[in-house]
Amino acid sequence: MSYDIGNSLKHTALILGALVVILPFYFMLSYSLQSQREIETGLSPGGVNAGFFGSQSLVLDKDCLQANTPERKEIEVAKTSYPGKTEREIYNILLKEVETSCSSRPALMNYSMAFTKAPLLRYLLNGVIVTLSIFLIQVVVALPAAYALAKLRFLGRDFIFSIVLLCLLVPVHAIALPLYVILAKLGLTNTYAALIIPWTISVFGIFLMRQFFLTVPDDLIDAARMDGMSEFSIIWRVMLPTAVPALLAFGIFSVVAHWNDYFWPRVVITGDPNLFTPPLGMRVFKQDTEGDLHGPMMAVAVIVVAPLMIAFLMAQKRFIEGITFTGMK
Amino acid sequence: MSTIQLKNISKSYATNLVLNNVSLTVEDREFLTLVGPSGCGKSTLLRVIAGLETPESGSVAIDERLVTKTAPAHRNLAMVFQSYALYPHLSVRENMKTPLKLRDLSIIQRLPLIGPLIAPGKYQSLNNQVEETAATLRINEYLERRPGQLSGGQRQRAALGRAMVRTPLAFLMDEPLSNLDAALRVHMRAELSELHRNLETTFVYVTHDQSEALTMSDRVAVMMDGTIVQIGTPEEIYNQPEFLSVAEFLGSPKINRLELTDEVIAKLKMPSKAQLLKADIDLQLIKHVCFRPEHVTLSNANNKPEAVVRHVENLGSEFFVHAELAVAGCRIILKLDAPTGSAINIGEVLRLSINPNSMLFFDESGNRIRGREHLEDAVA
Repeated sequence: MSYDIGNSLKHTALILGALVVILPFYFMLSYSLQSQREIETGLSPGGVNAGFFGSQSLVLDKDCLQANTPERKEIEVAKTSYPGKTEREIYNILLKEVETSCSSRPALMNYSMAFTKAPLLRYLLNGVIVTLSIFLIQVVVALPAAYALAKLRFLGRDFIFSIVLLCLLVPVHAIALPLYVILAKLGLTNTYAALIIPWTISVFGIFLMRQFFLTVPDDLIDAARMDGMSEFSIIWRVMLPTAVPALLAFGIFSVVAHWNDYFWPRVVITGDPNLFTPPLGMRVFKQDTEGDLHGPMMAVAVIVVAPLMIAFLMAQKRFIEGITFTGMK
Repeated sequence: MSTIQLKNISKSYATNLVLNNVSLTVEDREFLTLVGPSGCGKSTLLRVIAGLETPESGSVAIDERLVTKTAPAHRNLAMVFQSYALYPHLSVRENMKTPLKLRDLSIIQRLPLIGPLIAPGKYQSLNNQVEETAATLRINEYLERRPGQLSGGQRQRAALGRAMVRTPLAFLMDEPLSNLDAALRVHMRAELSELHRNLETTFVYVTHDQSEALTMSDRVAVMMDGTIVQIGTPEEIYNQPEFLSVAEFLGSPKINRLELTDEVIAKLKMPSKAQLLKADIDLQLIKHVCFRPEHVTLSNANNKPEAVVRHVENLGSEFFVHAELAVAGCRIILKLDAPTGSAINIGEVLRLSINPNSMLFFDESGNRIRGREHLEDAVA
């Protein structure tokens, strides 16, 4: 193989691009394993940088220590076990024991704090409920709409479709405030409904499915009509099964977008932490006055992105098919 | 008994008139073919019969029952599509069962799992009907396969099966053979004709392929520009076309056409002026004279017109010879048998004889001009 400058340049550019994408993930993963001090100073207790995993030297959980500091009563009880020692000495011995039991490796501590300090399992469940509800309702709305726009002849169809296309250009953030006001007036803030309803009509979904339905031969629909199917049975029993690849592609976009969404849940879920979605779980460790707990926060981030990462690795081929399918290579 | 009667059907898309006041009666148990070039409205007419298109004016009656506004499913017709239109996610068996389920079962009985428990008898009878039809079409072996796993011919049969299974009043077929390869198409032609004889049902068949129209039909309706220009048996349509367009559309290779100028008449001497006058054909009106390639023969007589051979097509059993007619300055095609044809070389000069009785005359707008008497009689 001869040396090819063009190819080398391409690969260099791609590697640089990949670095830009991968580096934040690298730090997220690395910080989720390190103690607060190592993250802040970049140095392990020995005064050197211990690399990706940090030094993993024991750290003390201050909350744990505070909760378990030996009290008068415990010292009285312990007196029998340590005859001939002063109260001061006994206090110090007990404190040492508590300190040992409250110390752990930073990696373990970050991840256990992610689950104990924040009800992360609850957040993950919320995430599943919200993303699946959004996707299901989006399909229920988008399929009939796309079918009508692609296959039915009616007055003003092209005009309606151009409006649909126009809606694709409206950024979510532009209409966030009015949406919030509507939901607040309806008394729906701090409910699942607030998380789901604004996303149930997916313009992108309608557009994507319409483009796919255009490729379904008219004959198939006519055959179903001859067989005696109603228009709605045609949608659910003929179009839906043929549209599975397109639906998978759309599902990927929809689930990724709403699972990772931080903005909208942050807007409408203000009170009840039981309704937090996984990305909001990171907020628990953002303690403005005392400084943020970066280790556990990054541990939450790892747990939040892990399901999508695993899904991607398992269904890599489908993902790429889905993306190329939509012509967005 | 199932006749189909169309009266004064008109249909247009936007400003384009696709069907222009079409009337047609399809007799009981008839194999009627609608044939014409693409865009002539034949498929639209079929879809009007099926109920997939609503005409702007006119009426459709099946067995004297007016169905102009009836939904496709309630007309009890079956349609076979060019693309077969099988449900891609269902097996052949399920494809064939779908129309039966929709016709014979209630909504509750159609439910998966519960349905077969509620009405086991009905499901059994549906299965039997599918099996019977599959046996007729010899598709039992691949009933469990999906359309994607079948060859073109097998899909064609499966589509026929789905149409046949509910014993419809009539079959509507929209170019069902055009997606098959040439050999299979010829084979399926015979099979469809046989099927028509066995089923004793009305068939309305749409095609742009004139050979399908001629080989399969009881009657052929030739459509041009949204109207039926001629309807009749294949023999009538082929031998006695009423219009130049019909004459040119049917037959392969295409019918030969000469522009009849005074010079051509004078030099060709076929037919002679006297012949035409005697047959009461007005010479002034004639613009074109046409004759089929098989009506041209080789001659030894010196007074016959000369033609130079430009191209020879060997079809094995016969030869098509393309020759340039010196007087008329145009090319004609001769159909010759193999022994005669194989002896002909390119560049050779032939003398041709054309049977005057087989000549067809058309006026400037393409209408047929018939004599009062037979041309041959005029010679005598």
